[in-house]
Amino acid sequence: MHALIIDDSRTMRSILSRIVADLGFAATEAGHGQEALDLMAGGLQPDVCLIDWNMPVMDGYTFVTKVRAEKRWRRITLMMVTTESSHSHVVRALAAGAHEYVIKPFTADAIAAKLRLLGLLDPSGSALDAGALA
Amino acid sequence: MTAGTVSPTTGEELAALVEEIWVSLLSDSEPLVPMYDAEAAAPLTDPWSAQVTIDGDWHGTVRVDLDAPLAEALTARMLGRRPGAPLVEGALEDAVGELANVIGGNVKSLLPGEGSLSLPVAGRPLPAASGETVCRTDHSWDEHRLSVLVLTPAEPHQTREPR
Amino acid sequence: MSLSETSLRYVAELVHSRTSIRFDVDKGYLIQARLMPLARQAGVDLDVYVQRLAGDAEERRRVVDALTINETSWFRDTEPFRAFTDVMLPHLLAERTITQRIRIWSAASSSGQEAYSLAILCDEHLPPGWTVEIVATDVSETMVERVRRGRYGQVEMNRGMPAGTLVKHFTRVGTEWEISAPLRSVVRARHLNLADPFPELGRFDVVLLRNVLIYFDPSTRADIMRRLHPRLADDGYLLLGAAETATESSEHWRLERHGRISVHRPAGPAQLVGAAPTVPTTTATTGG
Repeated sequence: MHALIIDDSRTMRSILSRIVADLGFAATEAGHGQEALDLMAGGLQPDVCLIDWNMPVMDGYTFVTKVRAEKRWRRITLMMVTTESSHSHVVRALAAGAHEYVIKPFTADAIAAKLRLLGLLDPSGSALDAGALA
Repeated sequence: MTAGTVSPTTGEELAALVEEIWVSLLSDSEPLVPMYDAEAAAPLTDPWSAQVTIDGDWHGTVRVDLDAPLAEALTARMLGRRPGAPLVEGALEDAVGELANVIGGNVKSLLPGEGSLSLPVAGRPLPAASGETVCRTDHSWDEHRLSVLVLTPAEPHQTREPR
Repeated sequence: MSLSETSLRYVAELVHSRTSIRFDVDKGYLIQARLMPLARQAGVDLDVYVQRLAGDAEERRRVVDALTINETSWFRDTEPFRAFTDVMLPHLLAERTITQRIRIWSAASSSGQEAYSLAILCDEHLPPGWTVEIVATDVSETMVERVRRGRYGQVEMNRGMPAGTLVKHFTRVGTEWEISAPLRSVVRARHLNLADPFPELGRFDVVLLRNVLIYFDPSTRADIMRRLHPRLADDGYLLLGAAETATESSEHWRLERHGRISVHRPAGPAQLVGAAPTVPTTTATTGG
C-alpha cells in the first residue's frame, strides 16, 4: 500500500508519514496539489492520498476535483486531512469525491481508524498488503 | 455592531481549543498549563511567532507567540526528534506556522458564515500583528510561555468577553 | 499536587493488567495529566483519589479508559457493530413484526458513543414504522449528562466517525458537534451502578456490556451475569468485550459465533435459569 501525503507544511507531512509508515504504508510527500498531480502523471500510483485543504499553487479541494475527473485515477482513495472544520467544508469535499475527512488536530489512532473504515487496513491493523510484503 | 468587529470566541473557548490542539499534536507531551491575568501580563521576550488571517464575514488575525525554547521543543516533538537534536533550516518556521494554521482553522470554525484562511506566516521576530486584541489566552509549559491572540483591524468595535 | 511513586506504580500496574499497555513510571506527568480531571470531579486530591481506587471497580474502569486512547471511538472495534447490522437486526426484524420495536441497553455507556453509534445504525437500517429505544447507563452522573447533551469535541469526532455520517447527523455548535435531535430522542441516559441491583428497565433485545466485567472480581462478575439473564429477551443478544467472552460462559448462556466475534444468548427461557444442562456451544450463524 502506498500513501501520498499532500500538505504544504513539512512538519505535518512528517507527522502523517510517520503515522502511515507505522501502519505499514510506503509514503511519498508532496507540498501542494500540483506537485502531487505531477508525481501521479509521472507514474506514481498511490492507493490513498491524505490531502490538506489550504496550500499554495493548488489547494486540496482542486486536487480532489482534478483526480476525480480522470478515469485512470478512479480507484485511488482520497482523504482530506485539514484544519478546515465547518460542516459545509466536509459536505463540499465529499461532494467533490473525497471518501473521508479528518479534521486537524488529530491523533495517530484517528488516522488509523479512518484508514480501517476505508478498508485499507487488515484486521490486525496493518496496511492490507503489508503482510504479503513481509 | 457589525459581524467584523466582535471576537469570534471567548478566552475560555480559545484556551480549551489551544490545549486540545496541543495534546493532539504532541501526543505524549505534558499538557499546557493555563496562566491568568497577573502572570500573563509580561510580554514574551524574543519569541517565535506565526499568524494566519481569516477573511469573510469576520475579518481578523490569529497570532501565536512562543518562547524560543518552547518553539524548539514543539518542533522537535512534532518531527519525532529527540529534544535538542539539530533541526534543518526552516523547520521552526514550518512547525510554528502549522500550529498557527491549526489554531486559526479551529477559531474560524467558531465564526458564523463562511470565511477563508490564509497560509501561515512565521518568523523570529515577526512584526506585531496590527489591530486590536479581542481575545487572548496564555499558557505555560515547562516554565516557557505560549500566547495566542485574536485580533481585529483597529476600528471602533464592540468585543465579547475580551481577555 | 503530584502523585507518589507508590500511586504511580499502582495505576501503571492497573492499566497493564487490564490492557497489557505499559506505562513507564517516568511518564508520571502523563498519568497525572489524564487523572487530574477525574480527581477534580471526585473532589479530592490526586493521591487520595488513587488510594480510593482499590475499593471501586467502576472508578478503576474510568481510570483505565482515561489512560488508554481507545475509550471514545465511534463504532468501536467495528466487528460488534457489523454483527449488529448483519445478524442481530435481521433476526429482530423477522421476530418483532407485531411490536415493530427494538430495545437496546448500552451498559457502562461512558460518554455515549456506543449508544449513538447504534442509534445511527438503526436510523439507517430500520424500516419505516419501526422504533428503537436505547437505554444508556453509566455510574458517572457526569457521563450521563454528557450522553444527554450529545455533544462531542473535534478530536472525539475524528475517532471512527465516517465523514458521511458526520455531515448527515451532526451540526457544529461552537467548538463541538451536536448529534441531531431525532437521534438524541431515541437514547435515554440514566445513572446505574452495575454492582447494585438493577432498577426496573424492562427487557432488552440487545445488551452491550463491553470491557466492563474485567474490572469486577469473579463473584461480582458472576452476579452481574446472573442478574442480566432475565433482562434479556429469550432470543436476545448479549455482547461482551472480546477478552471477556470466553470467561463468562455458564450453563445459562450459549455462545454463538458470528464472523470474528462471539455473542452470548440466553440458554432457555429466563424462568428456567439453573435448569438448562447444556454446555456452551458454538452454533452456525442463524441470522440472514
